[in-house]
Amino acid sequence: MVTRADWFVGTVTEAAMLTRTGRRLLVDVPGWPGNRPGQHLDLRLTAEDGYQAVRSYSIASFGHGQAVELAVDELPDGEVSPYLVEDVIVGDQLEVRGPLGGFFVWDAEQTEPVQLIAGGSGIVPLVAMARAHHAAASAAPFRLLYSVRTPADAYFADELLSLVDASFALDWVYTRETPSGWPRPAGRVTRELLAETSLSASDAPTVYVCGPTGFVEATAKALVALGHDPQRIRTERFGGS
Amino acid sequence: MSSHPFPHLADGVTSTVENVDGNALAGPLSALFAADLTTALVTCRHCGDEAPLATAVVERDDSSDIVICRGCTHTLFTLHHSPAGLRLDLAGLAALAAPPDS
Ligand SMILES: Cc1cc2nc3c(=O)[nH]c(=O)nc-3n(C[C@H](O)[C@H](O)[C@H](O)COP(=O)(O)OP(=O)(O)OC[C@H]3O[C@@H](n4cnc5c(N)ncnc54)[C@H](O)[C@@H]3O)c2cc1C
Ligand SMILES: [Zn+2]
Repeated sequence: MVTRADWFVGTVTEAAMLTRTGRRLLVDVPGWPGNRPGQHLDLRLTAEDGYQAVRSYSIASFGHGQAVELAVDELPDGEVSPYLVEDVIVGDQLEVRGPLGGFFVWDAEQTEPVQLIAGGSGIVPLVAMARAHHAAASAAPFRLLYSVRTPADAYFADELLSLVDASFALDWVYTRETPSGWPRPAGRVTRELLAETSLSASDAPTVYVCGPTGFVEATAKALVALGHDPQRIRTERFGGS
Repeated sequence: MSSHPFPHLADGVTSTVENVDGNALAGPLSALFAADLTTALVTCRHCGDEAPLATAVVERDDSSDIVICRGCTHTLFTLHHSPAGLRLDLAGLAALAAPPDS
């Protein structure tokens, strides 16, 4: 799917809160050429005085359809995310450019083991990969490590749980508050934790790491320290600290 | 264009610098190049480091994307955004090579 990115006008067809701060938007985009699992789009908002703001959002959906699924986390002092989470309603129009990016993608032809590591809203492109892996009945071993503040902050939790099978494993890290009886205290992803909860370097997995920039930097560094080949670590940084 | 106008917060809003990476350049560069350049290998003029553009450090604000070599922290190139359009400044870029399948 090599397609030139273009601007399209989409219409919001579904909008629902996923968590306290996260909202799922389904956008119908006539002419959308489809997208590979992991790609993103640029979303452009125009104020009445002509002022424009552009932000990137990963796409949770994949394949040929023109229904594009997004999940946006509201940053309290943000310019665009509070509008998308609190103001936009079904029927509103949004301008999007895409599909974008050929680096942070997984294709069903890949057969090697894959470790996915998400921090917060960094789960969005990895959900697309997990869905594609399932839809293709891929035998490639997949393991997802999902770091969230508290159990209530997880996006797509039920769906991810339903994907667990012989070729898809799911592990959680809670950084602020754990479910009761959880074996580990709340805390950040560390080298020791990665060693326990992710595929080892000896399996030579391709590792996809996505989330806030600080999370991605720390995780990639720990992966290299654990012996992963930097060339097989694919990263996508959402910004923030 | 939206039935719920995007409020222009203007005046009070100061432009902050966001640290992202080369993946975020896919959109802006698509206005200049037909192929996706984020998988292209870029070579740094300063340290010779060669890496996919997606892995470069990008300092983004409202007016520019400054693309920085992860090997040596020198600037590879800068994308300037203005009402007049896009301008690419190739300060520290020695080479740019597209992978065979793009
Ligand atoms: C390739 C790519 C894909 C992305 N995909 C998604 C996605 O699927 N879902 C999603 O919710 N966001 C995603 N983002 C982040 C998104 O583009 C915006 O940065 C985010 O929505 C904040 O925009 P804003 O206008 O609300 O905040 P701004 O007004 O731009 O910033 C407000 C404040 O929040 C801080 N901040 C900005 N971004 C972040 C962040 N990611 N984490 C923590 N603090 C931050 C800023 O430093 C600033 O202090 C993605 C970013 C990139 C580059
Ligand atoms: Zn360099």
